[in-house]
Formats: sequence, structure tokens, C-alpha cells
Amino acid sequence: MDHDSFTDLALRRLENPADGELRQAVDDALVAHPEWLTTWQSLRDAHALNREAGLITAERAAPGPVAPDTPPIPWAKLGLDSPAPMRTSRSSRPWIIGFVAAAIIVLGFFLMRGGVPAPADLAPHASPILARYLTEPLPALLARATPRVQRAPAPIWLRQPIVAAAPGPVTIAWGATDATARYDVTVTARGRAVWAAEDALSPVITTALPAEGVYELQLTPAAGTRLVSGGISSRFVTVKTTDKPARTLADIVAITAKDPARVGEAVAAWWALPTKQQASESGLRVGLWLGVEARQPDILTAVQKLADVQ
Amino acid sequence: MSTPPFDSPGDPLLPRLRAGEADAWRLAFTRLWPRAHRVAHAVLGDAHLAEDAAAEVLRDLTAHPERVRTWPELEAYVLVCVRRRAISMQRDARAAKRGGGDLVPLDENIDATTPPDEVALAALDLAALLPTLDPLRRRIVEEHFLQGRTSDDIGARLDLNPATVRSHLARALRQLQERVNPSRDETAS
Repeated sequence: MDHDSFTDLALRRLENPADGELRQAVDDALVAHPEWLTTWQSLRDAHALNREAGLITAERAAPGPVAPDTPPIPWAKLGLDSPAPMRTSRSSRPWIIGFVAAAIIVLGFFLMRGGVPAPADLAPHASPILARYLTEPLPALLARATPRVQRAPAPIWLRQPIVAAAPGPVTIAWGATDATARYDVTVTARGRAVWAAEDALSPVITTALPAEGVYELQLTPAAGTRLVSGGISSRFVTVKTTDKPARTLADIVAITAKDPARVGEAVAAWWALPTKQQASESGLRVGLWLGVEARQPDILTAVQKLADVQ
Repeated sequence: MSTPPFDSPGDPLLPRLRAGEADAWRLAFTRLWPRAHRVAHAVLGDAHLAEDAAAEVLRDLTAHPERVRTWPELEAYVLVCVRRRAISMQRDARAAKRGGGDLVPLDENIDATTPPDEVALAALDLAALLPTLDPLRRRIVEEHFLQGRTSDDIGARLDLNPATVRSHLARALRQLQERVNPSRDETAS
């Protein structure tokens, strides 16, 4: 048994704590190779820590804030009196209800007209990383927004799909430093081509792909295109969803909080926003997040230009 | 007038929490309560017991204002504590049903001796690492650590050999370990 095989065995043992055979196999391996004890302890500790941390990360990333059946806060159990507004009888202050209803109507009207929610309003509903982009000072974010992809510019980068896509026709979109470069696009599943396009410019749309599929995506420079135009080899899965496609900044925040794998859809949705919304403070912040974390150099360039104009 | 978000660097709420201002804690609890209750409910399956578990942790928090460094850290810390408290309550209840005796951990994978604030930091590290991973490894890490799936399950779902899945997990764990120290040093400075 070599060290890599032992690591594999150790992970199987950690995944199956009740399996006596795996437990014995690890013990035997450690007897034969006591020098692997450090590896085992390190792996065991890191795995346990991240199993627990992962559950907390999942909860923090879950769309918030709440299940509808969450009980009211038991202020007495917390050693605090109820906050003053909560002690106020609703019937004795009917104007409060009227004020809240009016505020909701005004907000709804504002949003229906294409208004842009403020970063502070979006942050509580965002994934932890995006929430950081929505709350840190914007000048600092703009100054820091130089991702790895910009230090070593790639000739082509995938916009969509990234990680996951909804089943059905899948839009494949990419950005390229040479906008005229054409690519051959192939989608394969289990080694068999299920869809292809030749000599294509972004975007292309596949035939309907079934749910729960794992697909390999290949983009290679079409004949006649300079090899320096690079290529892409990626993998994505089709995941069932009943959600409507993202159209607004609030949608982008909501879908990525619910499922971080839908970042490709968020990229496409950001590009489809009206320029006014892209240039809003929330639009710039979400764009910075996508540019850095989803490695979209052209979004970063667009955000920097929009910010410079302001 | 807009209220500054909790986790902005200049958030005025954090020093008020540290100073023990009741109004600040009320505001903080209003934000923390739904998730805290949901975490406890997921373990205990009972709304009233979940309320007790979450309330106990939040009440204790006010006695330790030094724990309030940043909002994400505080939130993660609370969730770790609430989950552990809920597991402990469930374990006690099962032991009582059996008439006492040895307590059996409900999840052998979780090492309750790790301080909760360390787990909270690990949760933030994990959240920060995910976007930097390539898409396949990210998916594998999310399915294993966030959703609790085994490498066999993940392999079947992604059409991969389970050993390949474990290889990705082992590398991701190494990346996490490499990442942790520099990022915490930055936090400390």
C-alpha cells in the first residue's frame, strides 16, 4: 500500500465510522507504516472539523431568513424584555399598520418600475461571500478587484454554464479576448457526443438536455482560428429546478444564495441587466463579486468603466 | 435613514454588543433567532425543545461579549453552539429513555472537543475557499461537507469513480489547511 492508497482508505474509514473492517484496515496500515500516523491524525482532525463547519456553512448559505413556522423570540428566556415596538398593541396603534402597508406598496411600486434595491437591503439575503461584497466599502472592493485571470489573461473564459444548468436547452456562452475567434463546441455525456456546433460565436444553445446529467463541455478553436485563441474543457450538471430564470439583481442574490452552483446563470443575468442597473451601487457590487469569484474578467472591466463614469 | 449592515467594518452595533447594551442585543437576537431555531429544530425535530436550545445559547452569549468580533463570525459561532446544544439535549433524552448508562455520540464524525469558535472560523474558511475551487472540486466539496453525502453517493451522482471523489476531497482538505493560516493571520492583523 502506498501513501495515496492509505489516504483513500483513511477517507473511506472516516466516511464509514461504523465499519469495523475499515477501522481494522487503517489500524493495520498504521502498524505497518507508523510514519503515516501524522497523515491519519491530520486527515481525521481536518475531516471532522470541516464536516461540522460544512453544516454551518450550508446553514449560513441557505436562503434566509426563515421557515414560516419559526416561533416568536422568547425574550424572557433570553433574559431581556421585549423590545418596545413589540410591546405596543397593534390595535392601539393602527397608524403603524397603515404606515407599513403604505411602505410596502411604495417599495413594490418602486421595484415594479425597475428600481434597484440598495446593497444593505440585498445583503441579508445573500450568500456569505456575496454579502461581504455588498457591505464592504465600494472603493476598497474596486481597488482590490484584480483576479488571477487578469494577471494572466486567458484568451477565452466560460460565462455559462458554470457548474450547473437547468435541464432543457442549455445556453453556452463565453467571452474571448479576440471577439472574432470562432470555436467548435461539443457536449458529451459518458463519452458520447450529445450535441455539437462548429465555427460558432458565443452564445450557442444546445438541444434539450435531460435533468440529472453530467456533461463534458469542450470549446476548441475552429479551423482557421489562431491556436492562441485557446480552448475550454469544463464539466457541468443539469439540476432540476422550479425557479424562474434570474432577471433582476434581487433574483441573482436569491438564486445564488439558494444554490451557489447557479453562478453561471447569475453571470448571464448580470449581462442582461439594463445598464442603469449594472451601474447602480448594487449592480457594481454584484458585478465585482461575479468578476472576482466567478473569474469573469470582462465583467470586471465593465464594472470598472461604469464606476469611472460615476 | 439606512442602518449600516452588521458586518461592515465600521458597524456601530458590534461595539454596542461588546458594551452589553440591551437594545443592541435585542437587535442581534432578532437577526440570529430564525437560523438558530432552524438549526436546533433540524436536530431535535421539536419546536419547543429547539426554542430552549437556541434560547440557552443566545442567553449565554450576552455573558461573553468578547466573542463579538465580526458579525459572520458571531453568527457562525452561535450556530455551532446551538447545534451542539441540540445534539447534547437529544443525547441526554435518549440516554434517559434507556435508563441512563453510557452516552453514545450521535455523530461520530463530529469532534465536540474542538472549540466552537474554531469551528466557526473553519466554516468561514470553507465558505471562502469554495469559490476559488474549480467547478468539479467545488461541487464535490459542497456535496460532501455541506450536504453530508459520501464519496460513493457523489461518484454515482457525478458519474465518477468514488476514489476520484476522495482524491478531490483529500486535495481540498489540503487546500483548506494551506489557506487557513494566512487568512487568519490577516484577520488577526
